[in-house]
Amino acid sequence: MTCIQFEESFDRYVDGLLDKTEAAAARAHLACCTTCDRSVTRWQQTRILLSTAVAEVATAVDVSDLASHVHAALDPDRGSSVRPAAYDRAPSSRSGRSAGRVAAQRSARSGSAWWRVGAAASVSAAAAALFVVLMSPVKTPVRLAEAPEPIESTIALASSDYSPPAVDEKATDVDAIEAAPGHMVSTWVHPRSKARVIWVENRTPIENVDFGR
Amino acid sequence: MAQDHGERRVEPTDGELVERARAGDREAVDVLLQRYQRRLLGVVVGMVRNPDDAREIIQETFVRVFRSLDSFKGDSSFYTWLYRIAMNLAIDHQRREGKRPSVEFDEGVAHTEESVGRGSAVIGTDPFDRVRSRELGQKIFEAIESLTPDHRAVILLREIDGLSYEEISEVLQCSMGTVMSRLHYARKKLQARLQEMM
Repeated sequence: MTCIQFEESFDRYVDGLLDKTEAAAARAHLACCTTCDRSVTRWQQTRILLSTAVAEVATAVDVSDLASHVHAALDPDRGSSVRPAAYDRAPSSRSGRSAGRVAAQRSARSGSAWWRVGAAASVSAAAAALFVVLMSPVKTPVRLAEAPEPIESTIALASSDYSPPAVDEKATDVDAIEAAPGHMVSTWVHPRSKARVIWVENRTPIENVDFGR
Repeated sequence: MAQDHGERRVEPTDGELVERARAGDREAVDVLLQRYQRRLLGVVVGMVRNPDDAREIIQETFVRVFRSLDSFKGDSSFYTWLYRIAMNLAIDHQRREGKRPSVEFDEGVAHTEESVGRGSAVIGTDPFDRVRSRELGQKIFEAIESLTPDHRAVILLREIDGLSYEEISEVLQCSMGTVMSRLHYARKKLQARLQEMM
């Protein structure tokens, strides 16, 4: 087997998919070709690093309440307009949880919605957090839970159905307030879906935001 | 939920659970959730990196799946259908969001053999080990992010979830040849990128 032939068989070799004859030829080639042998070793190291890195992040994600949120979204009592993107999370602790976890629930309010914002203190990194909650006029109140961890990166929570208005479309019933320096909160009705959108734009990093009715 | 056949408990198949879920059996929905939520999470985390986004995508995936169970014809397996929806959502998310700032790893995350996927690299509790592990993890994700969403999907489905080439082609709705070509490219690029960073 030549190096070119081994290169063509590389993926099947590292995935254990070569038949006995091909595998024997590949092993014989690796025994006398340090370049190809090194490429296999490097891939095996990369593979371990990859699965380790992903597992480290994945195992820290709390999915213990995922089922309840899925059922809540599927509950026919809520009607077909249920948006699955809103859910509660418990405040994260430093150990085993990623920073900046926030949650949203859908609002019951129709019409203009003014949100009382209590912004907390210091910032730990320069980042802007952007929250978009797509609401439809249903009865469940919206609450954006506290974010106890400093928000260090740009986070966008958006319903998968949300899309910005097109150039020739106009949002209606627009209302806006600068709730605190650098914190703009506006609400408007989406021209196509007719849902009320709450748009929160933080131009400075925030540590705790509590939105209440 | 498992049926007793003498002393041997037989777990229900995905097909049986899908039929029960269609009939409104909430427990069947829970079993399918438990069966696949962690599996999906690994590959979706690899795609989008941000744990919160990954959780949201998983949730959205299951809601879409269970809402459209009536349209699932069974011409593919349930889990490849599930993966297809998850990967489409993850790829759409990546295309929509563009490049994202890094997400810091939590220093407090325990790193044990049990918590890693295939292969393991046991890192001790020495703080320098944790920092090195964290930096290495950052580099890995940066290298993954250098791949296009399509290449990322192929390598994650293969390396994190161990799907076969055929299953990957079914999930991503492309030919086996395309899967193998993307996988080869992704492996080489990932390897080269990590070499540059280290």
